[in-house]
Amino acid sequence: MRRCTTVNDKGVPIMFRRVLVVLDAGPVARRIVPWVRRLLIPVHGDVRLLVVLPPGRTVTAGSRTLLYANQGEDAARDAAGVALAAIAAQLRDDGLAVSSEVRFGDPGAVALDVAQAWGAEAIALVDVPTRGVRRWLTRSVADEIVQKSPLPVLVARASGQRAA
Amino acid sequence: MRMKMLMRCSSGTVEARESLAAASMRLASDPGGCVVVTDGGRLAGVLTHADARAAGPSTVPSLAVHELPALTSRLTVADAMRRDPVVVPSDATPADAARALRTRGHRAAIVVDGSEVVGVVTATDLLGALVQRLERETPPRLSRLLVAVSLAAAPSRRSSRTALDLALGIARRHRATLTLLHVMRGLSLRVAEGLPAGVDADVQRWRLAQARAALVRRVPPEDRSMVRVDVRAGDIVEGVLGGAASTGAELIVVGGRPGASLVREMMRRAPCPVLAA
Repeated sequence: MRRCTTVNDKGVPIMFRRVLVVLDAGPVARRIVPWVRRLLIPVHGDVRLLVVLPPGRTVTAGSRTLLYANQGEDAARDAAGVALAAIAAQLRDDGLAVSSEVRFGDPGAVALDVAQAWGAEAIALVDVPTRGVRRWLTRSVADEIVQKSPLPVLVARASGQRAA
Repeated sequence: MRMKMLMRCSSGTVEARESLAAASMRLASDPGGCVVVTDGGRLAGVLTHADARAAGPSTVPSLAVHELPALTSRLTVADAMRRDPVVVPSDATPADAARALRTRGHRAAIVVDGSEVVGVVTATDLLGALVQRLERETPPRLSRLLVAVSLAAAPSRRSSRTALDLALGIARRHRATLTLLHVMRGLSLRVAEGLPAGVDADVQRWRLAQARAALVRRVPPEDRSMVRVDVRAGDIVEGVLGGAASTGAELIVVGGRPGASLVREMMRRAPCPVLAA
């Protein structure tokens, strides 16, 4: 059974307040934010915004190193941090408690780790479809999280759904 | 809230005699889509995207393609700008600014601190402030939820139970209407819709009544006023998606085996977000 820690006196889950929102560097994944906001405002929820980016790579040209992996990650972290700050400010205005984090690695595995470490009661994300050959060779992040997460998972589609 | 909190910092000014094409490029990079126009250092007007578009030639004239840039290049900011702009002090309220814009039919106002231009505020900014205020007074809520429940397993089946309890919890918090949906395989579509359906119709109606009763029993008596029960016939995914569409559901809650293909299929096709409980 998926675990949900906000329970009634009989131990039956009734609502979640702490939601981990999984984002990436793109705008499509942010479409889940209005839904989380709408879901959590009545319960004065607690949101953690998590951006998971691909690990940085050292860029070389011949024998010269143009960019070290950690430099690339620092730049990506700063850029993601700016975008997260704007989303966090808006959610705080709505009365939600917000924290944010930028991590590097496999999105599914990192999201599940952070959810457990932070004590999330639900995970929210947009199912960003993979295209081309990757669609057949790999699972989407949403599929992986839905399959492995012990928590309730809120999934919105990247397109074709009503707006929050 | 005062203008100084709401305004956008002006991204510089343009001269009235500057070419409209160059000013349009400035507008394109301005997040507010609005620039302050000066004439010899004096405030002369305000230019928005809409003003620049309105001053250009029609996009469906009998002009050759090369004639359009030739015509637009002759236009200056002065030809397109709003003269005599709305000017509001930085300590004015959004209502003051909105009233002034509405009265004069302008789309943007210039915010000044004394005689110095400190920013601009657009009708969109004011609309944003209004939405924020309305949402503070009436927080956004979900009004229609749908939970898909299986009757195939025992009522104590945990995933289905969790989905229902979670959906009831959300519906209570949001004071939303919850549709409790069960899709029955092997039930005649005509019977589900209340129409006669041949010789086995009585048996099927009995199954339908049993299913409805079983669903109602799963809902605590105190919550029954906010719950409506729906039993559909046919394919599970199609039934749930059809139920969500017909009830205008804003959230679908489903239980079931984690990662089950049915849940994934619903997530891919649902008209609203899906909560896999």
